[in-house]
Order: sequence, then C-alpha cells, then structure tokens
Amino acid sequence: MKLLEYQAKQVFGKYGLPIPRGSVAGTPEEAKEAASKVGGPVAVKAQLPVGGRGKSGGILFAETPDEVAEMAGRLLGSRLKDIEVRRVLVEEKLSIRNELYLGITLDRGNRSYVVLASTEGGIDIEEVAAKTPERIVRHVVDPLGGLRPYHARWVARRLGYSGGDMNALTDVILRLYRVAQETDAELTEINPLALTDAGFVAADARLNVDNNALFRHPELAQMSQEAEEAELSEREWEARGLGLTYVELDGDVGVIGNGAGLTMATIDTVTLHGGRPANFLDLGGGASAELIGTGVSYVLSDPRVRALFVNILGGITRCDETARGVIEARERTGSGKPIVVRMTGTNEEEGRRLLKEAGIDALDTMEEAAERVVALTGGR
Amino acid sequence: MVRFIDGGTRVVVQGVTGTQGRFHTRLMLDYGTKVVAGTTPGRGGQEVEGVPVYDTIAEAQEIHELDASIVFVPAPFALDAALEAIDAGLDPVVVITEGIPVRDSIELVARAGLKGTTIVGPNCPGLIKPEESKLGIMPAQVFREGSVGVVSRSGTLFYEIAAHMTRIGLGQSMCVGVGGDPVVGLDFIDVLKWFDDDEDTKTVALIGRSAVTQRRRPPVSSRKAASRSRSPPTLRGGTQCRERGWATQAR
Repeated sequence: MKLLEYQAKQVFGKYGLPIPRGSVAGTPEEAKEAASKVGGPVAVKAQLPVGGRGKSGGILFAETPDEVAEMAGRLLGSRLKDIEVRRVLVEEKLSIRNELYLGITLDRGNRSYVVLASTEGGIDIEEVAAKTPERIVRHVVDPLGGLRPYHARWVARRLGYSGGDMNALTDVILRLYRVAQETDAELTEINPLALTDAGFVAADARLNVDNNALFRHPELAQMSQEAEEAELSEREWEARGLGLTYVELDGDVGVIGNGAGLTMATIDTVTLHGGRPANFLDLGGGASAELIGTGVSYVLSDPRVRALFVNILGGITRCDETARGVIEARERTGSGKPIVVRMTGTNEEEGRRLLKEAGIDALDTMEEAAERVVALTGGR
Repeated sequence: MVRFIDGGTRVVVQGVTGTQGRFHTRLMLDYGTKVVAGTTPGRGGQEVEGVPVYDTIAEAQEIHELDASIVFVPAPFALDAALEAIDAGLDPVVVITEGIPVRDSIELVARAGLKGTTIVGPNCPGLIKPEESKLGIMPAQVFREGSVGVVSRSGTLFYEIAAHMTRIGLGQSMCVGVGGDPVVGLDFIDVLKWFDDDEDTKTVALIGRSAVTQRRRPPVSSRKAASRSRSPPTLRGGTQCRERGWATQAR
C-alpha cells in the first residue's frame, strides 16, 4: 500500500523529519494560495504513486503565484505515466548543496530491515546499485536489537559526513527508522535527501506500508485509498472493494484460482493451450461460498469474458463451498457463459455431487480443463 | 537443527476453537496425527473434536506431553501464539496463519533462531509425512508414501504437483510447504539439507514461485538433487505473469 508524496511528508513531519514548507492543492486557485503562503520561488509537483515523475514533466518550478496557478492548471487533469494528476504539491524551492539517498526497506535475504544510503541522491537507487554499487552504504538492522544511534552514525560517517552535519544526518536516519517501524513500512525513502544551508530536508518522500499490517494503522489505510485508486483500473478498483485480489488482463478467458501460485500456473496453462486470459483472480486460502460467488459473478459480469475457468485445489478451501459459490453465482447473474470447473482436494466428492446436480462438469486435471475452456472460446 | 514430524509427534493446535482450527483438527486426527491438546485463550475447559482445550500451553503441558505446535490463531495475535510455543520448548512450530505483518514475522524468526526452533511458515500449508502424519492443511488424498522429498514456496501449486506425482506412481517421503511470505522460517536450503540426511528420501522436487525471491540460491549443494542431474526438478509458476510485469502485484 502506497502513500502519495504529500501524505508521506505529513507522516514524516509528525516524526520530526525536516520537510519543505508547502501544501497540497486540487485546483489552480488552491495552488496559487499555497504559493502565496510559501512566498518566493516554489516547486509544483504532480502527486503520482509511481517514480520517474521528474523526467516525464511532473515537477515544475515557478517564481510567482500567478505562474504557479498556470502550471497547476496544466498539470491537474493531465495524464502522466498513464495516471491522471488530481493533486499537486506546492512547496518552497530548496537551494540544494548536496543530494543524498536514504531508504529503509525489507531485506528478505537477511530476514530483517536494511538501511540503504548513498551520496548519489536524486536518481533511481536501482540505477546506482547497478552502475556504482560501491557508492551504496548498507546496514542490516539487528532484528531484535533494532537500529541504535551508533549504527546510524556509522552510516553517516561512511557517507563522508563529520561534525554537525554527521550528527544531523544521524538524527534523520534514526527518525526515518522510527517511521519505518511504527508504520510497518515495507519501504520508506527520502530521495533526494537535500543538504541545504538550513540543514537536511526531505525533498521527496515515499512510504509503502505492509498491507498485512493495515489493521494496526487505520488512518494510513484510509490515506492510501487515493494512491490505490489512481493506480488501479476501474475494474481492479471495483474488485478491491469487493475484497478480491484481481488483476485485469487483455483476453477473453476468465480465470479464478485459489492461491497465487496455482492461479499464475493456471494462466500459464491457458496461455500454453492457445487461450488468452482476461484476468487473474486469486481467492486466497479458505474462501467461503460467498466470496467464491462474488468472484464468479464479478468475472462473469465482464463483457469481454466468453468462458470462465475455475481452478480450485482444496486445502483450506473446501470443494463443497466452491461448488455452492459457483452455482449460486450462476443463478444470481443468470449468465449463460460456459463455466469449466476443475477442483480436487478437501470435500471433493460433495463438491462434485453438487456441481453435477446443477449440470456443471468438474474436470480432474488442469490440462483437461484448460483445453476445454480454450476450445469453448474458439482458441487454437 | 531442523525438526519435522513422524507418527509419534504429539501436537497442540493453537487457535483450535476457530473455524479453520476446528476443521483441520478433525482432518489431522482422521489422518492419524496425534493431536493431544488445543489452546484458545478464554476457552479453557472446552473440547473440540474430542481434544481438550486449554487457555495456555503451560496448562496443557501439565497434563500432556507435547512435541510440536500448529498455529491457526488470527494474524493480529499469531506472533504472540508462536512465541508462546517457542517458549514452551515445542519444535517444530508450524504457522498456518495468513496475513501476518512482516515486522512480526521478522521478530518471530529471529526469536526462534535464538532457541534453535524450527518455524515452518507463516502463511504455509505445513508438513506431511504421507500415510503417517500431517501437521498442516493440505488435502491428504493427493499424497502417497514414497521416496521423493517435496519442498514448495507455493500452497495450492504444491498440492497440484503432488497430485500429479501420485497419479504417475511417485510417492513422497516428506513434503514441506515453507510458505510464500517475504520472510519465512525454513527456506529451501534448510529443507534440502534435511532431505540429504534423510534415508527415506531418494530424490527431491522443488517448487518455487515467480515474484518470490529466495533467501539463498537453490541447491547445487544438495547431494540428492545433484545425484540425478545438475539441479533438482524445479517448477516456476507464473512465467506468463512475470512477462506481463505484474507478478508482484499478485503476491
């Protein structure tokens, strides 16, 4: 789950991280007012949930509030990186002496968090890692002991800072670590972290929160809606609201599975047999008849879908629940589109009996079912 | 030292009174697993499928000898439950629960490491020694006793492949679903090492998943894998998805 820059900066500000003066605007008038409040030259920044914004013209600089209004008018409502710009952040233009990179993210290999810092700020850190890996300082956080001031100091020293700047940088690192821990961040990033005459300032801000931890952060879950809605297609956004893990594709075979691995393999198999999947829908573990019904109705309601392939391997998900969900959804939608069900596992016999009574065939293997559904859509 | 299960392993089910805990307690008992106790805070004194329920593991241990735990406790409380099992000296601890915050998993795995406890999961199907015992939620009917060790990141894809193997007459010695979360306890290398020392395991099948990076590189070090070919039979599901660049979204 992602926050937009202005939201991440609000969170950073609460933790005492230095952020530029400014405010967010949804109209040219609001942008003008924001610029007047800041006073002097400002940056006008499109709020997008993706990187590479600067290169695609999403960051503009202006001297006067009138100019700001004009620029905001240009950005708002336009599409950058295929996403509609709905808000801009207007903030003081910084006079930057130095640009650093600072990030804290998950380190799967070491099963902990890692602090990444570099003197090469302002550009994509992946690029730095590829071209000049020696310019990245890494510190793997002790999973039980946490990040101590001396660890942060060590990072600051390795970046070449000393004296007051070193102490200030140490403080920024420790505060960002607190943000990461207390918001359950998968990734939190300041790129660039600007060194100005007034000290360090977070010129940009990124905060991605672990979806699994949102129950601990209802306020962040609320905030993240804006970025999510901007990024997802209309159908994906709608599916999210129904509690479905759904990704839109461009074919005509609806695909529903349980478990990401099996659902991905199902898409591979349909493609292998010459079919074109219309979507990915993972019901996850232990789906109820109700959730299965919701998923089936949702995919059947897609006008592009000509046949549906439901592939369930019952472990924690039960085949009888699956059958009930499929049957109920078919009745509710009144859809005449063919449904091919492949299911095996927990409560398989009861599930098959229910489907048979309803006149739906349950096939044994994924291959058979994939062939059948591809034949139904007139594939190869 | 990695610890798995056999027919003698005595098991406590944590979160035994929930829908999933209750359902899979029944299925594990039917399979022959020695489920001797269950826990749910506030439900001590009840019974689930003939298994006595306690408020705490410590109380269960006053009455029963326990070896291993399986955790069905909801995500917000799963870390606490697993730590309770580690403290009680149970090993392995299989964490079925889906949706545990990664910060909790990091703490869980680190604390288990201090004590040398084997953690399987979180968000995993668990362990099965076919036709003997299972500590998990996998559909037992797709497994048969045999000599192939199976280790998988994926859940349902793991069952899919076991079903194929069984259909063509390849039984399994031990199957381990390590879970697909970013941070899990056991990883491929740990399991492959265990297979190397296991007399019943002659070959190994490894099931990965696109969008999941491994902690360490897979298994040229595995003797049994290497004895058949340079690397064990592996399957990476989701190639279509990876090409389309959205696999990570579908975690």
